[in-house]
Amino acid sequence: MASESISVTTSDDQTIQLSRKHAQMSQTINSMLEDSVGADQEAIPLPNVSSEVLKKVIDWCTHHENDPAPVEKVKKLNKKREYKAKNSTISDEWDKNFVNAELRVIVDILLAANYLDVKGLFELMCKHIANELKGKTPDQIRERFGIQDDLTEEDKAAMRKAWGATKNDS
Amino acid sequence: MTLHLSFAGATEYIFEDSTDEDDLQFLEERCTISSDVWANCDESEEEETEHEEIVNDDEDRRHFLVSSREVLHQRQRDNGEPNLRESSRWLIETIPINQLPDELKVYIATFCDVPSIGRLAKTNKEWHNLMGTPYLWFILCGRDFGAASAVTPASANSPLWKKMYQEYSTPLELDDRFRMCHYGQIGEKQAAEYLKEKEP
Repeated sequence: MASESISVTTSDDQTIQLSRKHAQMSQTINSMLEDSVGADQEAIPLPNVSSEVLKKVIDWCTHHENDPAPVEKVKKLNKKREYKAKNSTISDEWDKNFVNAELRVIVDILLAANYLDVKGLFELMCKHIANELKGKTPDQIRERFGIQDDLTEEDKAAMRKAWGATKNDS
Repeated sequence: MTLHLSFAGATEYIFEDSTDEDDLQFLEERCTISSDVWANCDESEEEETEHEEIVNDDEDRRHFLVSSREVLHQRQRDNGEPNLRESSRWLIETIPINQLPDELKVYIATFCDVPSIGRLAKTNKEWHNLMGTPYLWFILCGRDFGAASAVTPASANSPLWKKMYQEYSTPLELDDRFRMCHYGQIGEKQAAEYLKEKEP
């Protein structure tokens, strides 16, 4: 009989208990659990996730534990509608509050969600970053995200030609 | 733990909007830590003098910060304190978005509108290359024109996708019907009706 809580070891050697339900929201942990059915439950190592970030992920899982599984959603939508449905609006108020954090934290959570394969959280973080990008000029984007400007004037002219000048351009 | 957090806070302000005075104060605070390292290196005296120059030299300052971090981590290990962010290389990479692997950067772009993608591409060579990824335009065509399963470039990696997106987004003209049917957006009949409606 499977136990109700799973322990995982994070990159900073902390052992964290999480409920089976939350653990199964991560496809990565879920498949690890399936592989080890019947075996003694040892702590699952998560070398790419720090405890700080994992706690955030668990927060999110706790809030969304009763959401319908994402797999079912995709089955219902045909391919076209799945793409159509993809816009960057964050509808949930709790989520809006959740993403209201430092960019550094956001990126860490995004990486963790990618590694743990928590689809909803992953999409949420991508949407948030996309929203941050929208409507900013190239200069503002560089400043906000610390992207280095390695373009010469010629490059820039060529790019304006290739992409077309938009009103928000520098 | 407290030390760690204040350190993280200070790092941000040194790279973002620091005045020289703030920098100096920050470096002074760190001096105690870094001199510990150098004491252990048997070269303490030499290093101490070098340290005076660090303040004016960006490259050295980075190096200096990195070595401070090493000590901090060592100290935390010795004291048995949890080290929250050692694995994320947060200090040297103050530019979090560059940590992301390419496929995630492209994935994020699939949530943006096309003008934003254009501006993003204009920031940097790397981003310019990424935003030309055929797969991105494959997704965008599907998203904005619903043509993902239509008569289309053979694979998701074909460079034709971007061209196709551009064609779609240009104002409808004489060869509308051909274009729409060719890409399978709507059937020939509907295309004819659509064009009829559009005529004054």
